[in-house]
Amino acid sequence: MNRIKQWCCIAALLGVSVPVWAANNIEWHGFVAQGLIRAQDSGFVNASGELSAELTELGLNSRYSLTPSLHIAGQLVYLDGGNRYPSGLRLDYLLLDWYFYNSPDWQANAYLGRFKNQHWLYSSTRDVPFTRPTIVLPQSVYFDAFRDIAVSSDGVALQARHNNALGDFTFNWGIGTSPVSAAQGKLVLGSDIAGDLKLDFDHQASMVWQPDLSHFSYGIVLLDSNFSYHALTSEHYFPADFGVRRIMLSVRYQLERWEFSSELQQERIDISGFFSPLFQQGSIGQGGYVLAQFRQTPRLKWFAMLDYSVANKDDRRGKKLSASSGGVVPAYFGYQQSVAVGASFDLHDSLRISAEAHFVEGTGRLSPVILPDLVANQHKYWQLYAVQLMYRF
Amino acid sequence: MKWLCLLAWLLSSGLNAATVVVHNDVSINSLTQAQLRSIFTMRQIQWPDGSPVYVLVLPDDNLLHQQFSREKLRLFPYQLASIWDKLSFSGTGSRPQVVADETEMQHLLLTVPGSIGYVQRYQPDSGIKEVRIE
Repeated sequence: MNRIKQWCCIAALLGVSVPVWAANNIEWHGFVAQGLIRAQDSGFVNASGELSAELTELGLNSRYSLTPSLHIAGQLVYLDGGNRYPSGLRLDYLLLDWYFYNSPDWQANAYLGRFKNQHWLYSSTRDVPFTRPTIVLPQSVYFDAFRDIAVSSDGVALQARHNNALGDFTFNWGIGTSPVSAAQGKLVLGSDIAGDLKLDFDHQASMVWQPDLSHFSYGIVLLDSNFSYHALTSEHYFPADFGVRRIMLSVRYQLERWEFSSELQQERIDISGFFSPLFQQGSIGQGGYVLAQFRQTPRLKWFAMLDYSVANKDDRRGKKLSASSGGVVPAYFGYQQSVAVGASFDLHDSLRISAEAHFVEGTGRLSPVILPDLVANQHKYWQLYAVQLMYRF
Repeated sequence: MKWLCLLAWLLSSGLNAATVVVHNDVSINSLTQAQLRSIFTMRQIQWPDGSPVYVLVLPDDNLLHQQFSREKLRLFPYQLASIWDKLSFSGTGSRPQVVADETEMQHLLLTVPGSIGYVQRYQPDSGIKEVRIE
C-alpha cells in the first residue's frame, strides 16, 4: 500500500510537470525508467534471485538563472533497486552555482549546497538512465552500496576550465559530507547494526586533460574521506572510524563509432574499532574496468565490459579473508570479476530500451560490505540480466 | 579523372562548409577552435563584456550540424550531446537552444542579442556577422 502511495505521489509530481517548458531563465528536465532485473544465485537485487521489477528510476530537475552568473539547480529522484540501494525519494543535488570567472581561455564556477560528484567519468550522471553507458555500472568503481554517498556532497566545490595549445584542462575540487540514512548504514556495514553511521567528510580533487586535436582524454582523481560509527551500548559492535583513501586514473578514447573508457582505482581502508574497541585493520583494495562501446547506427549501440575488484590486493583470491573468519566467510567474498555485454536502441529521441547480461565470479561487491550476507550470497558464480525502458524530457 | 573528382569534392566541401556567425552586437571578430569549443560545449556562457551567450544549434541528425561539430569543433555529435546531458543532469549548465532549421537559425541570429550559430552559406548583407576561426 505504501508503495502504491509513493507511486501516486511521484506520478502526481511528474504529471504536474510533464508539459516541459523553458522560459528565458528556467528549464526543466526529467526521466522515467522502468525495467526488469534478475540476479540469479545472488542477493544483488533480492534474496530469492528471482525476476524483479525493482529497477525503477524517476527524476525531475530544474535550473533557474538568477543572473547570468548565478544559478540555482536541483534534482529530486525516486529509486527502487531492491538490495542495491535504499528505495524511496532523495534529493540528488540542490546547489547555488556562481560563474565567477570568465575569459575566452579560462572559466571558473563555485558550487555551494548539495553538489554532484564531478570527478569520475560517469559519477555526475550515474543516476540518469539515459546518460549511463550500462544499466548496471561497473561495481569496481561505481559500487551501488555507496551510491547515495558517492553521488553528491553537502559542502563547497570549485571547477576551473582552461584551454591552451596543449588542449583542454578541467580541474575539480570539492569538500563536504553526505547524510547516511539508517538503511544506507545497514547496506554498508551489515543488516544487524543498531547504531548510526556518519560520513564525517569527503574531500576530492581531480584533473582531466584532453590534448588538442586528440581523441584521448586522461584523468586523475584523489579522494580522502572518513566515516564514523556511533554504536549503541546495547549492541555487540563498538564505536569505530573507517578511513577511505582512493586514487583513480582514467582514460577515454572516442572515435566516430567506437568509444573505449577505463578507470583504475586503488583504495586504502583503515578500520579502527567496530569488531572490538582495540580492533585495527588496514587493507588496500584495487579495481577497475574496461568498457568498449560501438555505435552501429546513430540509434543502436553495443557494449562489452570487463570489471575487476579485490578487497585486499595481497589476498586476490580471498584465501586470507576466509582463513581469518575460520572458514565461515567463503574466499569468493574477497573479490568480484565480471564480463558484461549489452545493447541499447533509441526508439525515439526521448525513448530508449537497453538490455544487458553480466557473468560474475565472486561476491566482493555485494552489500553489506563489512558484515557480508552469507545467506543470500551462497554462490561463487552468478549472473545478472536486465532490461530497461527509459524516457526523458 | 581521379584528380578532377578530388578537385570537385574539395570545391563542394569548401562551398558547403559551416560558417560560424553571431548577432551583430557581439563585439568579437575571431575565435580559436578551442574557444569555439568552450562556447558550444556551454562552458563559456558569457561574452568578454559579461553579456550572456545564446548558443543555437540544429538537431543532432542535421547534416550541417554534424559537419559543424566534426570540422569546427573537432567533436563527434554524440560527444557534444553527451557533454550537454552531463551539464543539464548535474545542475552545472544548460543545453543550447535547438532550432528546427537554418531559416529559424538565421531569424534568431538577427533578433536575439548575444546569439551564436552557424550557417551553410554566409551572405555578408544578411545582417549577421561572420566569425573567423583561427
